[in-house]
Amino acid sequence: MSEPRTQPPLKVEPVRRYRRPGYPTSEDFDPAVLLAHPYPFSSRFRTWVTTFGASSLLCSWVGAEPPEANGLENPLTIAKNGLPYRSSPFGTGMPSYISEDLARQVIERVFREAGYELKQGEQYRKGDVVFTTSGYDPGARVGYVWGDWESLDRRDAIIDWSTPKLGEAEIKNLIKQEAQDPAACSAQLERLAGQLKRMDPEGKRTKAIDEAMARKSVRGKAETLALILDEIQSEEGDERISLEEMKALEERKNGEHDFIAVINRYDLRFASHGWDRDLHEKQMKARQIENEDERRAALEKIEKEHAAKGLKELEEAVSDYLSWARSQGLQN
Amino acid sequence: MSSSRKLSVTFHLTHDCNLRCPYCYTGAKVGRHMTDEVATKAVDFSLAEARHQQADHLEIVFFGGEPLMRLQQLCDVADQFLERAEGLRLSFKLSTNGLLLNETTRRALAKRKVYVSVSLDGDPATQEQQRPTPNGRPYADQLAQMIPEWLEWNPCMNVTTVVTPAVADRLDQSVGWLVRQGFSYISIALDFSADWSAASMARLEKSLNRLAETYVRWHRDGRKVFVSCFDSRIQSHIRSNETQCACSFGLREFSIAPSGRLYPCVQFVGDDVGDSQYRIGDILTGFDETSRLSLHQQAKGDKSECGDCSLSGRCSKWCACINWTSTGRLDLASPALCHYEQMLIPIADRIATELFKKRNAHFIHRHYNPSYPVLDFVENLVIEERTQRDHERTTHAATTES
Repeated sequence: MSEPRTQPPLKVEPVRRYRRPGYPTSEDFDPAVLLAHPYPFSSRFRTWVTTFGASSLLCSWVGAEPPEANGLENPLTIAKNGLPYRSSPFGTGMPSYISEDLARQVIERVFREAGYELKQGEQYRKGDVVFTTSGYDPGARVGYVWGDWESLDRRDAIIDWSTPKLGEAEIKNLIKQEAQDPAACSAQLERLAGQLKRMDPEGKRTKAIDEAMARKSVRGKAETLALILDEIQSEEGDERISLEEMKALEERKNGEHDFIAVINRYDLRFASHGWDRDLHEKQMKARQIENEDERRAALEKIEKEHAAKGLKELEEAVSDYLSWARSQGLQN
Repeated sequence: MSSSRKLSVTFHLTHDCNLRCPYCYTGAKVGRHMTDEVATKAVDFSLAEARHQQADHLEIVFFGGEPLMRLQQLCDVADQFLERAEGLRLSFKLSTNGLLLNETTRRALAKRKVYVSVSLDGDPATQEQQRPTPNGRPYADQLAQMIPEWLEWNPCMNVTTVVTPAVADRLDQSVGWLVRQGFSYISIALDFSADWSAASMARLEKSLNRLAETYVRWHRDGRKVFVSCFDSRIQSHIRSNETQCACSFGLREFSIAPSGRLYPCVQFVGDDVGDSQYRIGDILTGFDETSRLSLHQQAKGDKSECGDCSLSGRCSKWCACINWTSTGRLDLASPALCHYEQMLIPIADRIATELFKKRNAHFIHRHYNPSYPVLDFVENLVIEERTQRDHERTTHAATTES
C-alpha cells in the first residue's frame, strides 16, 4: 500500500469567530416564502404537464399561484417600480435620483452585452398601446422606456399638482366658485389657460385657447378648455407611456413576445438617499473648473461614485429583467 | 437524519485501470481482479452483514481500478443481489472514468438500475494532463463524442472533478466547461494527498470566487446546476440544528478488495498486499472486530487541534480518508482541509445570502422545500422519459431510413 506524502506546510487553525450567515436555517425559515415563490419547473416539464391536463393539480400542490417559468421574476413590474410617481413641490431629505445619461449608459450596456441592438426613439405601436421607446430592438422585440417627466403620461403615471385637471367635478367646482367669488373663478380660468399654453410650446392651440376664454359662460370656457387639454394629452399619449399601457404590456395582451422594460427614474431602488456634505463639497469644487469638458467629466465622475450603489442595483434589475424575459420566450 | 438504516458496501472489482491518474489512491494498476468465487462469497457476506445490522437499505458501489473493465462480473454480482436480497431495498452505484461506457455497457447498467458517476477533471486539455492513458494516447476526441451520448442516456448524470494544485486556478473553467457540455450535477473533490501550499490554495480561492459568481448567474438564469462544494456547505448551515450524517468508517460502510479482504473505506484498499494496520477482516473469516472498532474510534475521536473552532460543525474533518491521506493519521485533522474549508464556507455563505435575499426560487426550493427531492425526481423523470422517447424516435427514424 502506498504511504501518504509528506506533511503539507499548511496548519490547522481554528476559527475563533464567524459571523452568522445571512440566510436562515431550516428552523428559522418562514414556510410562507415557499408559497410566495412557487417551484420553478422547467418549461419542458410544464409543457408535459399541460399536455396531460394536470397543471392545475400541480399548482395547488406546490403553491398558490401558477409558477413563473424557472422561478424568475420581473423586477420592473408596476408593483415594484414605484409608479405612479407622486411629485412633491417641496420637502427636505428627498432622494437623489440617478441622471438619465448615467442610467442609459448602464441600461444600454446590459442590453448590448445580452446581444440586443437598440434603436433610439422607436415608436411602439400595438393596438391601443402607443408610445415612444427609449431603446428598442425591433428584431428581438425587446427594449425599454426611461420613465421620467418627459416620457411618463401625466394622466396616470405621474400624479402632479401642477398638471391641470378639467373633469366634470372640476367644472362643477368652477361654476360653484363663480357664484361665490367671480374674481377668484376668473383668475382660476386664466391660470388654466396659461398652463395649457405652456403645455403647447409650439403655439398650435393658442388661438383655440383664446377663443375658449372669450366665451361668455364659465361652463362654456371650462368645457372648451377641457377639450383642448384632452387633445394635448392624447397627442402626448402617443409619445408617453401610461400606466394602462404598462399594465397591457405586463399582461402581454398585445403579443406574447414583446418585452419592454419600463425603468422609472423615480424608483427608490436606484436612488441614493440623503444630502451628503462630502458630495456637496466635491461638486462645488468641480463646478469651479473652467474648461467645460473637464468640468462636465468631473461632475459625471462624482455623480457616478455617489450613485454607484444605485447604478449597480439598476444594472442587476435590467439583467434580471432580461433573464426573466428569456424565460418567457424572448429570443437570445 | 434519515430513519432508514443503510449499509454501504464497495466492491473493488479490479486493481487494473485504463488510465494512469497520478493522484489515484487505489494503488498500482495491475491485472489483479476479483475472482468469480470471491465475488459470490462477497455477495453472501454483504447480505449476511446487512441482515445482521438489520439494515433496510443495502447500497452496493462498484469501484476499482476501473470497474467497467469487469463488466460481466459487475452484472453477475448485481444479478445475484437482485435475486437474493428479499426484503432489502437495493441500490447500485458505479464510479467510472467513462471510457468504456458505450451503448452496450449503458444498456446492461440501465437494466440493473446502476447509477453511474463519471470522473472528468474538466476540459480535454485538463483531462489529458491529469488523467493520461498508460501509453499517453490522446482520447479527447473520444470523450467529446461520448459525453453527448451519456447525457442523452442520463441527463442527470453526476460528474466528479478532482482538483490538484496544478489545476487549482482552472477549477472555474473546468466546471464551466462541464456545464456547457450539459452536466448539471458536479462533485468537486480535492486531492488531499497532494502538497498543497498557501500559494496553491490562494489560486484555488480565486477560482472558487469566480465559480461562485457563475453559480449565482446560473441560478438567476433559472439553470439547475448542483455544485457539491457550494451546495453541501450551504446545507451544513441550513441543517445545523440537525445531527449531521458523517461516514461510519468500517461500521455501516466498508470496502471489499479484489482479494476479499475488508477495509473501512475505499482509500485504504490501495495495493492490498502484505500486512496492513487498516485491514478489518476478510469475507471468509469475517470482521476483526477489535481492529474494526479501534480504527473507527481513532477516526471518529475529537480532533483536539480544532479546539472550539466556529466552523467545526460544518467542515469535513470527520472524513477519515481525507485526514489519513493528508497527515498519515486517522486522528489528526487535515491542515489542507482546514484551509480549504475556511476559504470555501464564507464563499458558499456569501452566495447563499445573495440568492436568499433575492428570493431566487431555485435556491429556496432546493434548500428549504422538504418536497424538493420528490419534485426534482419527478421533473428529472419527465426529462429522462422525453429524452429517451426522442432518442428512440430518432433511432427508429434512422433505422427506417436505412
